[in-house]
Amino acid sequence: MNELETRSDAELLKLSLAGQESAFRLLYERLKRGIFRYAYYMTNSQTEAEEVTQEVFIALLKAGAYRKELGDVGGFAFGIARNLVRRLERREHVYRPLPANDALDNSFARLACSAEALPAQLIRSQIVKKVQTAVASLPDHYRQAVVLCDLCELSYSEAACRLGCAVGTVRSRLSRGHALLREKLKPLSKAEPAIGGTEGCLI
Amino acid sequence: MTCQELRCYLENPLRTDIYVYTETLAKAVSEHLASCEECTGFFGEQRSLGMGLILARDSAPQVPASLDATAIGNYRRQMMVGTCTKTMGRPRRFASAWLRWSLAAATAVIAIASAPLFENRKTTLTSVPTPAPLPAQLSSQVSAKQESMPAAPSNQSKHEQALAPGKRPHPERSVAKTGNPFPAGFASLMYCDELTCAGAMEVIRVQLLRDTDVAASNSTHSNISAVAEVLVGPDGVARGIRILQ
Repeated sequence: MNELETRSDAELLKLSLAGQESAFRLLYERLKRGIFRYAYYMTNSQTEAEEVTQEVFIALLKAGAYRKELGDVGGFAFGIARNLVRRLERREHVYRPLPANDALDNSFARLACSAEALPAQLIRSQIVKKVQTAVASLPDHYRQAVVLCDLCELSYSEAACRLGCAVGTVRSRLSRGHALLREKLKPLSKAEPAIGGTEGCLI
Repeated sequence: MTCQELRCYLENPLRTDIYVYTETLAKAVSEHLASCEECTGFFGEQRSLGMGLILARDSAPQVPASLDATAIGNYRRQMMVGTCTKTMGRPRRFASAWLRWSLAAATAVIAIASAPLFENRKTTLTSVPTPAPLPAQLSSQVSAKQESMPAAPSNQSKHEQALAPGKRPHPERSVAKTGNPFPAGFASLMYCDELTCAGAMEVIRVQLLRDTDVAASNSTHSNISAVAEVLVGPDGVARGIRILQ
């Protein structure tokens, strides 16, 4: 196993295709978290993230699917994941309406007012849900940048490599994405001081 | 410090904690924030966005163990299929070729076998190759002298000849559209639709006798009251009648 750990992803994939299961296990361990998290943040669904992750590895194992010219295996796998997520979005587009901004505002206001009454866990999950919804409502290229850099914790250069664009492009997209997110989550920042107490709450 | 400089420092919402900066920088940022309301608002928004993103990032579920097991299972299956494909490549190709040829042959046989059926459907009302037996209802009333008509009734045949072959109305279609499937002059003897009147019909010329002389009709021709043409279906049942004399 130690010998395998020093090998690159491309070599591990080659060994996996040759039938060496330990190589595949190691490759899977290296890539699974990033792909799963990316799919999860893009779809906001654990089931779909699992489906995408599974499909990515099946596609990777198709003989001849990966070539060296396509870049590193991680980027190639990410490309597959991105296509699968897009396909899923097209398929499920009709069934997943995003809440309107008004609904977001109201829920944040309610959340701020009922801060003391609800357990912290619930408040946190509500905030997370709202942030995820706001991220999901971003235009696709901004969302990709936000998900990769902020949520999947990739560096700018790694994200640029995954998205196939320049680092400067990633930075500008990220900045624009943050601006849009700030707009969408403004009620959250306004309500934030009230979370500590009920002074600002009229009810 | 200017507003623009401050915004450069606070560009990343996940790193808005000013205590990570150097002491002098942190002091400058704090002083600017205290004096500029707009930047204070921006700082608050960035902080709350950063807080939300961190919460969202930490809330991601771990990769379930079941997914690991499924992925490994998929890998093993894939490898097994790959091995089978490598070893059984030729027979599979042979099998698929054989299957293709046999399917083509079967299709050809079915097409040849079903050709006469289509030919039968094309025959019109007027084509009468052989006379059919008379229907039971009429046999008691008609004389022994029967003639089979080689050609169609005049009106109908003229009409059909006038039409181009492609435009010639199909008897079954005319049943469905008009409800009267018979040529001009024929009166219906029974209900006729696509099911009951399907197939070619025959025209039989019959001589009708007077009711009173039915018993003695076999010997004489003087009792004949009318000559008629009867349309008989393939099942032997009379469908229509037309009185000629």
